Amino acid sequence: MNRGIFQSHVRRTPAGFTLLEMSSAMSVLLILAVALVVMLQQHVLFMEMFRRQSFLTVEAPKIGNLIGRIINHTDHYFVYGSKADALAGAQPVLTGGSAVRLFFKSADQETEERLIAVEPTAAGNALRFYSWRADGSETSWTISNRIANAQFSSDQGILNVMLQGPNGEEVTYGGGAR
Amino acid sequence: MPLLRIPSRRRLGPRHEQGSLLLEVSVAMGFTALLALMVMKASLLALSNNQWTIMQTLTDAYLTRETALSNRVPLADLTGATSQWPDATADDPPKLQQPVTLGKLVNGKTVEATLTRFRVNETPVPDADTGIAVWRLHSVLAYQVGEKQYVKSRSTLRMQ
Repeated sequence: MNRGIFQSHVRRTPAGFTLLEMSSAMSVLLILAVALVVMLQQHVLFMEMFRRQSFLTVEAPKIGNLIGRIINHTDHYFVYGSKADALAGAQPVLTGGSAVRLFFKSADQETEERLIAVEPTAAGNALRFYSWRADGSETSWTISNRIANAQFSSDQGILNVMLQGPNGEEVTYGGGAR
Repeated sequence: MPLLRIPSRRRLGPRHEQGSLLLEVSVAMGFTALLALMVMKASLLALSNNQWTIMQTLTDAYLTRETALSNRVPLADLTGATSQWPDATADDPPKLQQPVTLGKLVNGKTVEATLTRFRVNETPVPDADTGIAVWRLHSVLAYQVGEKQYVKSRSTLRMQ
């Protein structure tokens, strides 16, 4: 019994690794760590790229869908330099407008008016839709607050809405041909 | 009979220990390379999908203008000598082809495409004596995504 314990102590081998083994292991771990960091950086870069492209992939189609549904039902329209000009009934413009007054024919042949205007926000600009209740009070909702700018123009009889994204993107929707 | 036998590293055999680090490292490097390839492939796939979506956004937007314009153009201009939608069977040239700018990408890079317009007489033969002429206005947009070229079209029916 005692002999066995004694034998195990006698046959002890030196623990640990040699300097060469440690150096090799650390070098390889370092290479692996660098490779993983590079992969992570690349992934972050791609994610950032996708985030920057989200205006054209996500936001612009939604705005285009909403704008198209609205302006394609318009009977006629006038483009103005600003929302204040539109509300004041100033001289309409053909290009470079920041607001557009839209006129719709209701079922009882009454003319209803709506307004779409570009308004400054803390983060840039927003595209807002305005309408008025029967008592004359104003109500509005935001079409998008992720645009850098938007411009309305009337060209060859159609209403164009050029949307500018936060990273220099540009896309133009058309309609209002009735 | 020994009660406690602690196996030493030597007892596992020197042949087993030698080269084990190299094997483990190779496996780790292999897995890392595989992971890198998978991540790269997924990223490139997502990138090409994004590019496809962006082109759909830009081309769809451009064609809303074409649809609006084809509905708005006066019939006198449409059937005139300088029509923007030439008659595909009678006019020379039979179609109008021009490069157009669809919009701008991130950082302001412009995207180009080729627009082709033409019109086709679709007046039904039994109704020819009524004096009604029916024209179908075609707008065909050819654009490129990567190495491949795609075509998207819209048509509008106009009656005279």
